[in-house]
Amino acid sequence: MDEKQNGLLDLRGVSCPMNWVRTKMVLEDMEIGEKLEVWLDDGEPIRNVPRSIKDEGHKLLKVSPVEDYFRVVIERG
Amino acid sequence: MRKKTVDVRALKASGFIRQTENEYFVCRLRVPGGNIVTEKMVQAAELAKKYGRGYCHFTFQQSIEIPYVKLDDMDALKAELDGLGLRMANCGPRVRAITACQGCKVNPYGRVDAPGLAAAADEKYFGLDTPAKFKIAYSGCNIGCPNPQENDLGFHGMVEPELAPELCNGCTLCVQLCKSRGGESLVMNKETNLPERDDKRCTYCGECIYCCPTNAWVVKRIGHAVYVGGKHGRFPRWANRVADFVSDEETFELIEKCVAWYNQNSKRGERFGTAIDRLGLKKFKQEVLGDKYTAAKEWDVHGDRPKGVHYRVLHSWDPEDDE
Repeated sequence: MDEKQNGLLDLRGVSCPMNWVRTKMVLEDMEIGEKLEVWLDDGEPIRNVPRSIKDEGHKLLKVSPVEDYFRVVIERG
Repeated sequence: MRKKTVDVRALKASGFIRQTENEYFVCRLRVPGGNIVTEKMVQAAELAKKYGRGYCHFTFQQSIEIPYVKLDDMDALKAELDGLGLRMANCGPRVRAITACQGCKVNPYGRVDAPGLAAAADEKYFGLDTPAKFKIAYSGCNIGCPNPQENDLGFHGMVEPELAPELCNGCTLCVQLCKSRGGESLVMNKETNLPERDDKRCTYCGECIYCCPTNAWVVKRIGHAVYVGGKHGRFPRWANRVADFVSDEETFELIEKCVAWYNQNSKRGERFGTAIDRLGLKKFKQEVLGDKYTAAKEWDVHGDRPKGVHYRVLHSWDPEDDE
């Protein structure tokens, strides 16, 4: 099951910890060095998911605010 | 029949507080920092069943109370408590059980070990006589759930961050989180692609250090902000923030100094904050703080908000809403 579309995973409206679970499942199917963009809500999601990304050894490359959510670029570690 | 006389004041000091109905007393148990082992909690519950009416009350000072203890049962209850190692709290004009939040070990926002410090301070200073009640609170961070600004003496954790530029990959996460937490002290320098910190706007919450995916933000200083003279009640008084970045040991030192100054300068019934107002904050600072501690950053009246900061909250979520 690959739910990302064109390297993008829209997790707006998805709360913790499901947003991280879904990110993790997608990352697991990717090659090392491959990039994934996720969209996360402000508040808990933007605070928690990047931390999990770091803990699991992936790289967070860029965070860009867009209206009321964030676009986060991750490199599979 | 001779009526039994009761020294209500002495009972209050030992933790038995008279209820509305004169023949009943509340038994207040001491739970410094709000942490209690489950065994003791069960024992307290059993005693509430045996001597009270089968329920406990959690006080705002984080004590557990057993209501509806009969005057005649107090000695037996006290003996059982002593046997179990359950200590009683107090009431009246003295240092009360010291309160705290969960601190850094449990709460991701926490920066200092608030309950550990509260328990250590409680061992040293609980029950010291003062002119009126004297409440002390330790908060792990500047969200301040234990209300350090509304205690006679309050502390909250604070951290000054420093950037190790060689580790930063320019992801901007810290900048985004700083903004959403109201600090707005970080901006990206477009030329260097590094975050820059405006110390005037920094609330020292430490969020940038906590969130950084590459550990580029490191701790430069860590300590406690010090608030004196706060209280609630009929005439609430917001505490004065008098020092920043004091060490764990210095919080104990300040408790000692504040209690001593309060006892020397105040008369029975006057709260600490009222004494500070009567004698002047300047005098208090000179006599208690001297020039030993880092002066508190001069911010707006409510402690944590630099003047002129525009609060851009992307989303209405706030950690305080999660309680």
